[in-house]
Amino acid sequence: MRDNLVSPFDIGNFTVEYVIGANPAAGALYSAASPGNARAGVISLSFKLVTDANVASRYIEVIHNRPGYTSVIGAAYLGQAATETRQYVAHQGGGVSTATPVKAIVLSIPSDGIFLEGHRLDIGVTGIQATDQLSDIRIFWKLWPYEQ
Amino acid sequence: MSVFAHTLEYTNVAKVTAQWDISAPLNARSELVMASFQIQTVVAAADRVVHVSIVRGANAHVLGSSCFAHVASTTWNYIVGQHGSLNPLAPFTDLYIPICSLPLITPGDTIRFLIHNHQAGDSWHYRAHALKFWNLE
Repeated sequence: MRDNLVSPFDIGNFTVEYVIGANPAAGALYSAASPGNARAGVISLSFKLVTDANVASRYIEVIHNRPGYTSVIGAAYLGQAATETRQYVAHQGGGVSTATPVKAIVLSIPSDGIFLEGHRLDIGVTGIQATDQLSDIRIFWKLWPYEQ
Repeated sequence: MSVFAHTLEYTNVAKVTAQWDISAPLNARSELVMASFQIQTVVAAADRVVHVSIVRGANAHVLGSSCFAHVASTTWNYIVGQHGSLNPLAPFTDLYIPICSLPLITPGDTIRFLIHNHQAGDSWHYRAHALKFWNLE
């Protein structure tokens, strides 16, 4: 879903695209292609991780994946344990908390305009187990279309 | 599309439901600027978590989430905003939920405030929210 928006508070015109991500297979990570024909940034990303009973800490990373190399643009500050369901929210104004119990994690992702065609947005889970499940993946992309 | 306006709505009417919804303005793109509310929990033991979402059709995009369990028999104030940071240490009675700051809300969307693990009798109070919107031409 893409619609045009002329912004009075930004440079030039941009569009917003909403992506509903398909759930990856159990134990698998998620990767989304950057929308084509535009520079893009991630305004907001939300997803859920349900962990299985295997004892291990899972650590979430949001990764800017470019041909040849990758860079981490957001990371959870706390591992997710076995048999937990946790909501993750990533956007450009996130913060970090240190108190417990933690039921959700907010990540900060500085990403305005750094995604070019052929790049990918990955959700990495260090320590993922065979039946862990990523789900409910939603992305708002901000796009600056290339001039025709 | 360059003309925008603000709205601020508030009510002191308590609500004893898991969620409260705001319909997106018609003929406009809008942005949630802030919200504030109080949640009072009953004695039933459960970890409550608050989500702020955009609901579009069958899909919900979680814009922001409280990070700490809101336990039984507790009154907390929540502030939803674009520029704050999360509370660093417990104990606290005011909890900040950061959200992003662009007009993502389109006509037909619903802005939803939701208590996960809502227990019968858990209630919302002093609900306020502000929207900024751009009229569609």
